Amino acid sequence: MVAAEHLALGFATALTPTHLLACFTGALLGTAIGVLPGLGPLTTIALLLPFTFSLPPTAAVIMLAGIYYGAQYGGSVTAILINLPGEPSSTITCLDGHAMARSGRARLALAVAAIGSFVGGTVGTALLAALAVPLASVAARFTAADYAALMLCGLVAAIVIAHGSVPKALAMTGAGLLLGAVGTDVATGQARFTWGVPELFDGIGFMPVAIGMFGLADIIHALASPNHRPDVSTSIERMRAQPGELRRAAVSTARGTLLGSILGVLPGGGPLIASFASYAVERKVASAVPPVGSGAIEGVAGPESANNAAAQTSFIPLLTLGLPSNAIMALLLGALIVHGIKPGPAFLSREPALFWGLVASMWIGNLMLLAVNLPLVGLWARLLRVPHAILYPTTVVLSCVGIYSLNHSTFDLRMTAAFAVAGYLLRLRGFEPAPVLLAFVLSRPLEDNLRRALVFSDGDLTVFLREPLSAVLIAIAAGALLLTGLPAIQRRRALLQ
Amino acid sequence: MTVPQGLRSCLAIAGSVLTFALLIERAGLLPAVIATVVVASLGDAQRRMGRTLILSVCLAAAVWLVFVVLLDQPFSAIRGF
Repeated sequence: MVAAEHLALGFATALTPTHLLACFTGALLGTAIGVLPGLGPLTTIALLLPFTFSLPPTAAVIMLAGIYYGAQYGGSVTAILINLPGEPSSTITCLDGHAMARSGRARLALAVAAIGSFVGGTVGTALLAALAVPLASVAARFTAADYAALMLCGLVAAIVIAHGSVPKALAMTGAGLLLGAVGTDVATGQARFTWGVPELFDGIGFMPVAIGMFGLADIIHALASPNHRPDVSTSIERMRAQPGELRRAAVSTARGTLLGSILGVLPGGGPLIASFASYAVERKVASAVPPVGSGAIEGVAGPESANNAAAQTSFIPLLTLGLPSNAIMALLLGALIVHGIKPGPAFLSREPALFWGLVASMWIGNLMLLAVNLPLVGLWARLLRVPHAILYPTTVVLSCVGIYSLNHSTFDLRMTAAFAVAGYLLRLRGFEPAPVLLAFVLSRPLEDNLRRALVFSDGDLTVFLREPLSAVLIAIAAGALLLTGLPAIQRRRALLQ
Repeated sequence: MTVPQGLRSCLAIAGSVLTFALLIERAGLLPAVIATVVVASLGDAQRRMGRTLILSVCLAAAVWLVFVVLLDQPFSAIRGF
């Protein structure tokens, strides 16, 4: 097998002591910065990028891989410990991960997240090595209608997994789509929902929405109800896995890895959709006690391995088509270009050593993530012991600095304050923030593909049903929505009689 | 002063972020961090001002060290210096 030979070549390049040290340093720095609340992987990578510039290209790319995985894991750590997702694809980890942390099982959640990430990443890498070429051609065959249908599926998944009422989750999804639509229309140049505010022409950033509606809204909530303040500090030691729990985590990791590997290949938010889809699957399949959504190990293991597997396989569109699947990938693409590496259709055939060296370094980045973070799990968990009176002002300050250092925009900070209050008020009324965030992120790509599909079909809406894949996806979405509606309908009927 | 706790914590957290937005460019990083911590802590009914001030100064120093010294971000520590 040629790919195996090439992979061996890649590993030979990557596995020198200097390169391992570069990767280790990258993973350590990435985790150290990424674990600061308010600094998501995007900010972390952007902040640490200059460190790689002085290195020779191969070492720089390997260090970048370390930074990437470290930063991503750092985002999961803040999601679990203080309910602050560092990036879209760790949004879902907040639900069960933070619930686990609150019940004194932070260390277990962190370890499962690290191991799940590693397993997902390893399988993703193997898949990347074995199937890069055929998978790239499959991804290239996806039509705009298929993508639009896929994103619709993702949105329905967000509604299905929401706690509580379906109409409220629908409303939140709608709100997220509208928030995402704010800004200049790419196709027509028309300004939408900008109210003449120049800062809105570029749209609303992810970090103000995520930090406002999750982390800061959470802080307001904790301050407003001092008696219900999560007292995690006392129960930190009570975190041994229960019998069978690790086996359940392993099964979920396998499911998440499979799902993530498949969904990651599709350009356009692969890791994000993968983590939500995995969560939806765990909700349906796992018979956990406590149920998934309130601190079940499955809800951490599944999505965390799914998003890492997807992150790995999403290198396929990046490297073979030159298509970044999300903002982080776009940033990595930029970094690769700085180092003289130009991904694209000819990259794989023209520079096999570099391509496979990159694949190998990605895997080593994953390994380093595990090597750096498993020993540190106890240290991160101990962060929870910091008294709330110290932890929450620190979180606020770091969130502010993090948001400001991304764009140097005080407008972003004002938006964050507004989203924090909105997030708190919505939570009081039983509206969940997770669907807003997913819909917000998917809004633009959904619109782009919807528009493209309709342009190709001359505005004929039936194109979504004529394309076979799109039709199947829409049927799945409709079916899932009907199924969530069903028990509610039955209950309401029972009440009426 | 009897402000409902919910309103009070909303005002404190949103206010602290806005304070940071107001001061970061006008006064610099160190005053912005200190003021942000002080405003944020107003939301805590059991706050102790002495401890808050110590925390704010430590945080300002740590943020300056990480972002300006280590990560080389273009923040001015105190405007005018």
